[in-house]
Amino acid sequence: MRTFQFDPAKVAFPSGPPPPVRQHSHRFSRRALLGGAAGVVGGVTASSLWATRAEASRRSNSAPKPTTNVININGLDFAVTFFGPGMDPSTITDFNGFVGVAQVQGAGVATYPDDSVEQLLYDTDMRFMSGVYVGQDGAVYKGTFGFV
Amino acid sequence: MIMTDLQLLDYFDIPNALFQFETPLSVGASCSFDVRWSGPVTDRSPVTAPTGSSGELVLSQATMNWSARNAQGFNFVSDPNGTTSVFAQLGHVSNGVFFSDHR
Repeated sequence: MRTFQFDPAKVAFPSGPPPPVRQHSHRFSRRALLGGAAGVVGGVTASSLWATRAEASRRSNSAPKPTTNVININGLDFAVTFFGPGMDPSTITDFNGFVGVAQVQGAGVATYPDDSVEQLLYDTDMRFMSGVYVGQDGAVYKGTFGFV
Repeated sequence: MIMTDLQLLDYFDIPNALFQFETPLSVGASCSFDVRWSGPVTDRSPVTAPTGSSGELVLSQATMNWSARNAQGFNFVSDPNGTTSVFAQLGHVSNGVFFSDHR
């Protein structure tokens, strides 16, 4: 059984309603702006979705939008962000919420199909993003995502 | 951040995960992890990058225990002792349409 536990209430940061949506006409359509504005102003509620009835009829994809930070490696574009002091580690855009990143190194024991064992080293990049975001359908949602 | 039996794909190595050229390309896998952030807070600073992001971040410490297995019978269990917290950070950010550049 899969479980995911995260309690943003235990994160000691200033809380409060998200700021009003700022219009960035070069980034998205008018419908996306209206969808975001309809849901965000007024603060965070317990519901997982803000949308007008008209928007709900067009809602089809609540997946978040990948970050607009794109790097090209060998001719392929990857939407990815790095982490570091002062750097937003979230890998999604149109997002407002709590984030965390952890790079942890260590060792462990690997067991292979032939039952042989070997100590291996690991280096991980683990992140979470929890808050309000504009989905790919332009509606505003509340959700939690992990980067593993 | 705790997850149990997350279903994912094992691409075997980073180059194949990025450019997908091996055969088989991937196999089914699952992993479980327990990542914990803790103090002390060693730095508190505003978000300065990338462009279009704002917020506040703090540097802290983190530990992680995890395990994984794949459909080929490979299994890995991390040693909870001797881990190194190379970089750990918590914060609140706003980006994209939520970006605010007020000072």
